[in-house]
Amino acid sequence: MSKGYTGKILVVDLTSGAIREETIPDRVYETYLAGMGLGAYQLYRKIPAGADPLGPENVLGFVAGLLTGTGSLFTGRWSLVGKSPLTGGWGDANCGGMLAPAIKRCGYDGIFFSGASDKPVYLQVGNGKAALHDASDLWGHDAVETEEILTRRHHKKKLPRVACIGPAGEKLSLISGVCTDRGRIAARSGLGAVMGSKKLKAVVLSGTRKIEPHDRAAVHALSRKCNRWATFEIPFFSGKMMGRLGTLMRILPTQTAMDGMLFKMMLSKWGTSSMNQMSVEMGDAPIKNWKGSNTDFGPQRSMGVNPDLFRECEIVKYHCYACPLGCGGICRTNGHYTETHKPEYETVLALGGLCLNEDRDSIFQLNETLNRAGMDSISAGATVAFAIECFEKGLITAADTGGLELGWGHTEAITALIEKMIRREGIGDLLADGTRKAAARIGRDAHHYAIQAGGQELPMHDGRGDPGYALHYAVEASPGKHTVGSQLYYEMYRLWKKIKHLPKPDLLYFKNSKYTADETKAICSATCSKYINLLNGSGACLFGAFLGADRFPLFDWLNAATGWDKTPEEYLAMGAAFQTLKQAFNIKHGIDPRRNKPSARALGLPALAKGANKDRRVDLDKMIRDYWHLFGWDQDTGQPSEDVMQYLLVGETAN
Amino acid sequence: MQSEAKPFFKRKVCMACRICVDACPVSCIDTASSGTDRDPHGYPFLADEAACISCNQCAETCPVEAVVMQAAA
Repeated sequence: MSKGYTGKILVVDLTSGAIREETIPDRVYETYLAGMGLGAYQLYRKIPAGADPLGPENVLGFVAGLLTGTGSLFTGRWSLVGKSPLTGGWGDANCGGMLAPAIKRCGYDGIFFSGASDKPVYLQVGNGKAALHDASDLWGHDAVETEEILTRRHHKKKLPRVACIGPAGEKLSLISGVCTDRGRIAARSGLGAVMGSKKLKAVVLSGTRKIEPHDRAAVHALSRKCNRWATFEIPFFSGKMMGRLGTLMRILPTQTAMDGMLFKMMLSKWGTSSMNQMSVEMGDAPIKNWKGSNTDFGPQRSMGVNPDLFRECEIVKYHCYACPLGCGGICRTNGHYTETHKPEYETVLALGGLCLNEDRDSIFQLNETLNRAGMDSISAGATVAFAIECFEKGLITAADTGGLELGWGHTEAITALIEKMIRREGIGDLLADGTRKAAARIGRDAHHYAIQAGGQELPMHDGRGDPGYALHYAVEASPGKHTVGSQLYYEMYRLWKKIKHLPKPDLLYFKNSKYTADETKAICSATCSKYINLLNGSGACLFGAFLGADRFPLFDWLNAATGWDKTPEEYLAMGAAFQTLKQAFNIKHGIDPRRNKPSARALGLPALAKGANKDRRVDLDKMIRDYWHLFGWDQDTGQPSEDVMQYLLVGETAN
Repeated sequence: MQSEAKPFFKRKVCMACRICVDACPVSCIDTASSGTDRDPHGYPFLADEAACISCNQCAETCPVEAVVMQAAA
């Protein structure tokens, strides 16, 4: 019976060159779905404790979600999984584009690499046929060049889809990722370096197998209903007005529970850059390496990155696979690169407000440069901001930087520094592994200025404005990620519409109430973690989930695609099992969950003296204990029990 | 005749989601590479009619029935 998944993975040993198929039992899908859940199941069992993330024992997986290719919407995300060299624990990164269905059309739910090749290679997969090829001629090419070469080389009938590393991954930068579709990047966790350490340059997929859901008509009926919400639009005001709306939201002592339909309409018009100015004004965007505020990057200054300025360069919208929204864009600019992906909000703020850089053209240029190099723009921007502050404090000097006078808003120096990081040249070599490594190399009190959690640079959502972000930065197995949960996300997920016992936020509430750590907030955060695990196991996009669970029929799609008859509560229990397995992965690999808390500055220690987050402090300790308790883990250590682990490994031995 | 049928894309219904582009086993469907006021989304079109094998997979997989197979004129 068709169930939407293939029931098989491809396993490649790069040391010996052996390639084999492995059958995955149905019970694994019924515990973890596919996608990142299948990845966690494989990696927990296959990577030995203490394995070097950049050694042959690490396993790197490319996985597609259970719903991908079934006719459901917003389900074109693929995931990259492995042991992270950046954090030392569980690593994942998630990306759109067209690669996700290409994995399944080759006949697999995932492709896993172990071992390491002694020379550069790439894997090519067709319909049940796979082969490793020499990639010596590709080594040194950037990601876009590599994709163009391989697409031409392997385009017979079916246009192949390519995922590859750029020079940053080849040079083992711990903030490197894996690219696809000319600049989409699975950026976080440093997994590009894992691919580089294995001398694996690229994966080329050109399968044409059908992906069969259990009941295609039912899946399509749900999709048509969802699409009515996804395409609903009302005329919108200008990009400049979004900044003023943010100002209003800052001034008011209260806020309303957010309906994701508003955000959906902003995404549809401008993409994620719709938030550029608004987030600065309302205190969502960290400024000046987290020590500044909206007063340092006020409306006049941030006008340079207002959403209309990015949209005016767009020549065509960009839709990932199965997406009716199209928040991406292909843009034409005047810089060195004539055609680029529209920079995302995270990139704009990391290279903009975090460094006080208001030059839009430089952000376009750097976005493309980083995508081609395969370097994470969040971590790169955060590392530059760290370096500027170290320069300001005299911890590094022009003698260290090769003459670069680093400073807030010095666009040319910021650009030159990132190029040095990509080439690992001079100071760039010191910075190319992110802030935690750089701070250790610089010494003295540099670690105070490295704003990270568990080694991963924090993204552009300030936990002092929404403590839910701060909690997830601390408790997730891959710390410092903004794509899991927050108080805002919980409001938009609207899961109480499907699961009646979940708390429903008040329509209007005082902002101060967000900082009170109580059990309700822990329940909301734990629910976010469980739900995002289901999205990642399904291959679904966060922005689809923002429509709300009553408009984005994830649970119904899963039942229609698989033939299961599970309740939303049963699905959330699967999300909890997945979360526990990732936690156990970290403990197995020596990560102490208590040490993943974000840097003190990001928690309001010391508190800001002005701006949107003035005097805001986030007390995480109680929230973390309550969160762990809700998963049944030890409240003091975050350790899952042995009994739970036996259940999670579906009958296999825990070790 | 089914063998002569080619895909026709209904723009008012199409979401530009590229499911049909992925489903095509011979990659004969492409999307517009530059937008206009009327086509800001990059809607799909039959880019290589000669390559089309009339397999119906684009129509079968479209969730919103925006792709219909029509006999060539």
